[in-house]
Amino acid sequence: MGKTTRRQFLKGGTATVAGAVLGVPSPVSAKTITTADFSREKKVGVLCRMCAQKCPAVATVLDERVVRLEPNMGTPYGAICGRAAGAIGALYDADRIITPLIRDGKRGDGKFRKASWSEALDMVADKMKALKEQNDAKSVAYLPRFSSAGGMDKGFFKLYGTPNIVGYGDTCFGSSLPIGYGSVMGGTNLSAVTGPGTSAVSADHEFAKYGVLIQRNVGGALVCHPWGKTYGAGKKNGMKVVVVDPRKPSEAGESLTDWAPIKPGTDVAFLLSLMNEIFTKKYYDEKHLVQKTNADMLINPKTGLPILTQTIKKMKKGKEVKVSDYYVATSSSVGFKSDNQNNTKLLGEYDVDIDGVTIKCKTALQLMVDSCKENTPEWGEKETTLKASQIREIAKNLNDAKPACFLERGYRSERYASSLREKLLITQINAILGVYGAKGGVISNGKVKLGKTMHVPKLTEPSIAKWLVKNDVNKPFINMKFYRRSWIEAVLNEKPYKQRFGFFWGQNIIGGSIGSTKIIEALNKLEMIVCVSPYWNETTMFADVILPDATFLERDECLNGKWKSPLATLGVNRKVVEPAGESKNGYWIVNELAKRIFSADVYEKHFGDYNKEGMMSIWKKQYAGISGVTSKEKQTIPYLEELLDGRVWAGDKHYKIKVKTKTGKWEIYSTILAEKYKELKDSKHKDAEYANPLPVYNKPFFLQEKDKLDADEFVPITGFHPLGTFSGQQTKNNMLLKSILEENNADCIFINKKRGENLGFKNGDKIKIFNPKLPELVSIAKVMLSQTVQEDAMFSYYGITAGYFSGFTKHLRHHKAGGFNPNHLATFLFNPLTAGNPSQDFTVKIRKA
Amino acid sequence: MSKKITVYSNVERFFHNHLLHFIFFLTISGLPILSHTFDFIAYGVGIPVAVLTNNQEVLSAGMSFLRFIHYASAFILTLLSIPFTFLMLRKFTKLSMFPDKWGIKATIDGFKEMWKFYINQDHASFGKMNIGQKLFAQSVVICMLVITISGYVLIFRDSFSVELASYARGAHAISFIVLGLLLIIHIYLATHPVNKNAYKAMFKTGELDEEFIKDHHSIYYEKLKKEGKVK
Amino acid sequence: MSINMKCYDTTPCIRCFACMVGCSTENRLRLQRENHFGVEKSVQNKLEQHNHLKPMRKEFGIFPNSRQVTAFHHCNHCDNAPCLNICPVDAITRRVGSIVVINQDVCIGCSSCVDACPFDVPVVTNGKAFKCHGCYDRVENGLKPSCANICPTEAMFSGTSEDVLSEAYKRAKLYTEVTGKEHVVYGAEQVNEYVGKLHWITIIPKEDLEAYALDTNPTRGAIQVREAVKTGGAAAAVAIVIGSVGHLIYWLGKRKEKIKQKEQDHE
Repeated sequence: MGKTTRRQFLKGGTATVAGAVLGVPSPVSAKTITTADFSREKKVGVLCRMCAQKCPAVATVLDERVVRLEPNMGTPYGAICGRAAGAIGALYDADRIITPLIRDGKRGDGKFRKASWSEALDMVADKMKALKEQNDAKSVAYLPRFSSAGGMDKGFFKLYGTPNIVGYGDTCFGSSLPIGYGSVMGGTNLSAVTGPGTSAVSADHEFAKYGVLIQRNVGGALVCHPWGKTYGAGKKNGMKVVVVDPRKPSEAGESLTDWAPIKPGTDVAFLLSLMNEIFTKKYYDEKHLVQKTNADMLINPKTGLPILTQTIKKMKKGKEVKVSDYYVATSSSVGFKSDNQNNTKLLGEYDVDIDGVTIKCKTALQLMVDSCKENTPEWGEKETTLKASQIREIAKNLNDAKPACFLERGYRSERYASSLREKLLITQINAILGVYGAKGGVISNGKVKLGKTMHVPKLTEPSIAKWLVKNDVNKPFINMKFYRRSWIEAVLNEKPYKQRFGFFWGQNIIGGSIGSTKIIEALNKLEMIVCVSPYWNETTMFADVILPDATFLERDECLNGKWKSPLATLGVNRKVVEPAGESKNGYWIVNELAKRIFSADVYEKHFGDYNKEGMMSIWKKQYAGISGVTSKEKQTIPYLEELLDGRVWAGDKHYKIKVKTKTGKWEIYSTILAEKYKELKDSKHKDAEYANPLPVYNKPFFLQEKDKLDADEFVPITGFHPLGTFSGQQTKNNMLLKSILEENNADCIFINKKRGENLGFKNGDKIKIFNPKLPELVSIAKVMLSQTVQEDAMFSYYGITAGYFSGFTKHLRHHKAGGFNPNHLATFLFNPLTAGNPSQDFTVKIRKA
Repeated sequence: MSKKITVYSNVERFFHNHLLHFIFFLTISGLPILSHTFDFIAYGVGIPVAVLTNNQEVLSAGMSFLRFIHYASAFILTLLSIPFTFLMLRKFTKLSMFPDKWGIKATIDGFKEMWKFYINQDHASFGKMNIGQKLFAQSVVICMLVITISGYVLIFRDSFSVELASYARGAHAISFIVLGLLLIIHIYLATHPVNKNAYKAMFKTGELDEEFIKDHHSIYYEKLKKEGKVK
Repeated sequence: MSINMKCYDTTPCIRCFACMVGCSTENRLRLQRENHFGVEKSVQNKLEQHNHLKPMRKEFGIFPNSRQVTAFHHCNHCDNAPCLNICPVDAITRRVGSIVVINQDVCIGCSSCVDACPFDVPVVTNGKAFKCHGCYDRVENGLKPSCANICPTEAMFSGTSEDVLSEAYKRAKLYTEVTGKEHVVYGAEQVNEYVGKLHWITIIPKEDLEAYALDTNPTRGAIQVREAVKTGGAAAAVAIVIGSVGHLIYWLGKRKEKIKQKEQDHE
C-alpha cells in the first residue's frame, strides 16, 4: 500500500534496542496515538436504521470503511443504542444479499440463482405491466417496512394504480393504540377509525416523579432518541417507576424500580382496579376534571350517548371552529356546558326534561365510577395475582406525584383480545390524573412537515382496508394504513378482489406477525413475490425475485421530520460508503422500474426531476415545503446545505397536548366509542363490549377459554432486547451484538423457577414448545429457570432466535436455526374490532426435548 | 592406602551434577519473572534475541527467550527426574535423609553435634548425613515437589481456575525462594574446606576413605559395619 | 492533563449494553488502524478479548420478591494497580491521566497480571494479555472513552477526577434522599491497601455492593504473600551470605588457633 505506519517506522533497527540497553531501563508504554491518527477519520451524518427509529448519528469513515457510529449531539436528545454501535456488523455482514437473485426451486426452499439487474428488473416490470394491461393494478400490493426510497416508493405504486399500500403496524402499534388514545384525545377520522399514531405523545421522563411502565419498558424497547435519553435523565433526577410486567426487565433499570409481577393478559384487571382505587380515594382534581375533561357530561344511561348536544362556534387562535357543546348539571339546574363552565357537578343523577319527557341522566364520571365499582384492588388481586396493597400503593404514588407522572401507553402492544381496552384505560387514567400536557406528564411530540415530493392523481378504486371497514362487521376499527394480516386474509379469501402480486420492501411478514402457516399459504397463492432486502429472512425464502437493497450507511435518503420526540426535529441520512457488491439504493430501484413501466411522458412528469438532479430534486421539494413549526422555530432551521452536511435541527419543547375531540375536551367518556358501541349493541354484535366507553373488563381469548393453565402450559410473552430488533434482520447475523446477547442468555426462553423444577427442568435444558392448537409445529429452545418470571408466563426476547421457520438461516453463518419465535406457532387470529394482531393471546405447552 | 567406600552411586552423582545445570538455567531464567531486580539478565539475553528477531522490545524479547529456556529446562529435568525418582523410591526407607534416631532429644543432640563440628571444630559423631543435611534434603524434596506441581499448573493454567493459578504463582515463587536460600547454604558448606572429601566424592570419585568415614561419620560407620560392608 | 476518571452509575443505566458494543467496535477500529485488520473482517469474529466490558447477570431472592442484577465487569484502573506492579516486562504502564494500559507489543503473555488482579480482569489470548485500556488514545486526544461517549443515559460518564467525583457524590446524595437507601461511590475512597483508590468508580446502593460484585476487600492472597516472601527472601539471602562469610572467617581463625594448639600440644 506504500504507507509507512509508525509501527514499521519504530521497528526500524537496532538504534532503539541499543537505546533501551544503554539508557536506564524504563517502562515501555503503549503507542501514543496523536491527533494525526484521528484527523484521518471522516464524519458523515446519518439517521440510524438498525431499528425503525432513525436516531441521528454520526458515522466515522477510516480507510474507506465505516468504523464507528456515535450519537449526533445536534439535538438535546442525541443518543444511540448498542444496535447502532454495532451497525458495522450489519453493514459488513458477509452473508448479505448483494446481487439480484431469481428463484431456482420451490418457494420456501431458498434456492436462488444470481441474476443481472436488468434481468431481475425486467422480470418484475414485465409482470407489473401485464397486470396493468389486464386492468388489474389493484392486485398488486406494496408492503413497505425499511423502505430506502422514502418520498418516491409509495407515489410510484399509486401512480402505477394500486391503492394497496399495506403497512405492518397492525402487528405493533397500528390498531388498538391509536383508537385507545384517539377515542379520548380525538384525532383525524379515517372512516371509522380515529386517533393519531404511535408517536403522538411522549412521557416527559426528565421531570416526572413517578411512572407506571405498563405495556412497554422504555429500556428494552429502546428508542434512544429521545426516549432512552429522557428516561435515563429522569432516573438520574430521581424518577421512580413501577414495572407492570410478568417478567422483571433489567432494561427498565435495577434501582428506583419496583416490580409488579402481573399474570399475563390481565393488564385490564390491574388498570380497572387502579381506576377503582383512584375513584374511591378521590385521587383526582375536581377542578381539572371540570375544566379539561367531559367528566361532567350528562349521559342518557339507556343509549350511552350525551343527552343533549349542540354545535357552537368558538374562536381558537383567531380562527372560528365548531365545537360540540353538551348538557351538564349544576347545583341548581341542568344546562349546556358553554353556559356553566366551572361549577358543574361531576357525580350524581339528574333529571333532564326533553320534549316533556323526564330522563334520568348520570354524569359521565358517575357512570364510570359505577361501572368499575366491583373492581376493587381485592378483586384485582384475584385476577392479576398482584397484591391489593401494591395496587393501592401504585394509585397512591400516582396521586402523590400527579401531574408529574404517567402510565406508559404501550408499544408493540397489540398482544391480546383485550388490547384496545388496555390502551383506553391507560388514556382514561392519564386524563383523569391530568398528566397530559403537564410538566413531568405526557406531552405531544413535535413534527416538521415537509413539502410533497410527488403529486399523484387520486385513485378511485378502494383499498382492501377501505372495503373492509365498510363491509366487514368484525373490523370496524381497522387501520387504513396498517393492515398486512387483513391483506393476507384477503389473499386467501380473494375478497374484495384477487391479489396476485406482493412487493415486500424490507417487510418480513412471516417472522413479524402471527399465524405463519396461513401466511405461507397466502404467499403461495400469489403469482409473484418480490422482496427488496439486504438481508435474508423468512419471507425472502418465498420470493421469486430478490432485489438487494443498500443499507442506510450506503444510501442518501430524503429529509426526515418525524421522530418520537417532543421537539420538532429535522435531519437527513447521508451515504457514507458505496453499496456492497451490486446492491443499489431504493431510489435507483424505483426509478429503474418506473422507466420500464410508465410511458415516456408519465415517467418524465413524475421522475424527470429525479432523473436529472438525483436526490437534490427530492430534498429541494421537501425543504421548500417545510411547515408545522412555529414561525420562531422556522427562523432557526438551517440551510438545506447544512442539513445535508450532517446537521440535525431541533425545535423547542412545548408543554401542550393536542386535543382533537369534537367537544374540545379530553373525553374520558369517549363519545366516538359511545356511538360505535350503541351501533354494535343494536346489531347484537358479539364483540360489542370491546367498544364500551365505560371501564369494563375485557379478557384475552385464552382467558375466555379457561381460567387456569395446565401444569405444562404457559403464555408465551415476549419483550424486546435492547440489542435485538423486531423482525428486521440487522441485528441477527451480527457478531458484534451476538457475543453480548449470548452472555445474557438472550437466546433462551425463561420460565418461573418453581414451575420449571416441578416439570423436572434444569437450566439450559433443551425443550420442545408447541401450541396445542397447532401441535405439528414444534420449536426447540433452551430453557432457563428464573425467579423473575411470573408463574404463567414463558418469556423470550422477541426476534432473537430464528424460530420454527428457520430455513433462511442456511444462508447465514452466525444466526443459527432453531429457537422460539411465538409468531410462527400462533394461530391466525384477529383482535376484535381493530383487526390487530393478538401476538401473545395463545398458550403453549412444553416437553423435554 | 585405606579402603574406599562408595558413598554416592553413579546414578546419584550423575543426577546431582546435571541437576545443578538445570537449577542454574531454571534460576537465571526464572529470576527476572520473579523480580525486576534481575531484569539485567533479561536485558542481557534480550539484546541478541532482539536483534535477531527484529523485536524492538529488549526486555520482552529477553524474557520470552528466558521463558523458553525455563520451560525447556523444566521439561527435560522432569524427564530426567522420573527414573531417578523411581530409583530413590525403591530404597525409600533406606534414604539417609531420614533421621538415624527419632525424637526431640535426638534432634537437639544432632544440632549439638553440628555445633561441635562446625563451630568448635571438635570431633563429632554423624551419620552419613548430619541433621542439617537431612533437614536440607527434606526441604529440598518438598520444595521441588511444590515448585514442579505449581509450575505445571501455571503452564496448563487454562485447565484451572484463575484462583488456583494465582495460588500456584504464589507457591512457585515461595518454594523457589526457600529453595534458593537453602541452596546458598548448601553451596557454601559443600565448598567449605572441611567438606573437601565429600566434595571430591560427589564430583569425582563417589568414594570416601574408610578411615575418613570412621573418623567423621561414626554412626554411618557403625551402620556399614552392621551391614558387613566394612570389617 | 489532570487525572482522568470514569464513573458508572447503576441507577440511570438501562442495561442496553451500548457501552459494551461501542467498546468492541472501537477496538476493531484500532485493529484496522494499527494492524490493517479491516473491520469488514474483524466483525466476522467474536474477538472476545476486545470486549473489555462485560455483563454478569445474577438473580437474587425468590419470586415474587426477586430481582436480577447486571454487574458490569471491567478494569477499575486501580491507583495501586497490582497488575502493573507484578508485570515482569513492564508491559503495563500508567498513562498520563492515570489510565492503566497493557502494551501488547511488549506483553509476553505470562499471565502474572491475571493472577495478581483481584477483579479477574485481564484475559490472555494468543499469548497477549488484554483488558480495558481506558481508550487512552481517545482520552489523550480530548475525546471521551468510547463507553462514556456512547452511553445514551449518562450512566457512564468521564472527565477529570474533580468533575467526576463531584458529580458522583451529588448523584449518590440525591438517590439516598429519594430512596432512603444509602448510596455510595465505590472506589472514590481507598478500597483497600492492595488496590488503593480506583479510577473507574461506581455509584451504587451500599447494600448492593456484593450483588454487583464490587468487592470491599479485593485481594489475591497468594500474590500478596509472594510479595512479602520476596522481600523477606532478599533479606534472608543477605543474612545468609553475611552469615556464611562470617562463619568462614570465624572458622579459619578458629582453625589457626586449633592448629597452633595442636602444635603446642606436640611440643
